Amino acid sequence: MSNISIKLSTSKLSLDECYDFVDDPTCGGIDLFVGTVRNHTKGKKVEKLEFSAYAPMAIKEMHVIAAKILEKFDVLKIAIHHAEGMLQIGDIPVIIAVSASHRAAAFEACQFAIDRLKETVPIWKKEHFSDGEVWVNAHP
Amino acid sequence: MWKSLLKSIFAETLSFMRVKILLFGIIAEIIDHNSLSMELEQPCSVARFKEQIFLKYPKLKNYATFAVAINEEYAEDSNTICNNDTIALIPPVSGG
Repeated sequence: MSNISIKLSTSKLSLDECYDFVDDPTCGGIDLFVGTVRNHTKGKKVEKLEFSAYAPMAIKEMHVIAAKILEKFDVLKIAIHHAEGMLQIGDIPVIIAVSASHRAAAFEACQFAIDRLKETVPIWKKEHFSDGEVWVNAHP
Repeated sequence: MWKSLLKSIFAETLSFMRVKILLFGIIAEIIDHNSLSMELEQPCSVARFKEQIFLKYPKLKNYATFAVAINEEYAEDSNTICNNDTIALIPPVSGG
């Protein structure tokens, strides 16, 4: 489907790739959500985050989200890219890019995408601290 | 006479299937494997499968919050597992 780009990658994600994919002369707005690895959680210093995935199902579920978005919102293209493996502070685990004729739909669709991804896509993150590691349990 | 009686008893026996179960996240860590193999009666509901896996791996009862996927799709307790299906235990997800 040429309006949907889904990626699960052990290589560094590219903002340009996501932007270029959704960019279209008919669109007046592109909304980008970029998730980043922050250096703390609940007041404790995080050293790095480890992402693991049930890859074939994660890709399927991201496709389901993208298809839902094209159906539900007046948007043209969507890219959902997620990283796998060990990520350092400041690295990008997820990019969602959406293009639409008008900005309202782009904003809404982008928010919907990240909210749904956090609920349904079989990817898990493990926080690494100086004194141990913890699997993140909840949907923030 | 005994032979035919035994034969009829076995004819009533359930047939079994061997399934592969993929493990992830905290569950893979506590079981210390990325996958398991189990024998289940054929066909088997997801609810029944959960009972069986808790019996075989009692440690899982402490991490009982997981979804079950059959062939890469989320399944309900009422869904059926068939021969050659790939099952996965999906602990609470935390992507993004």
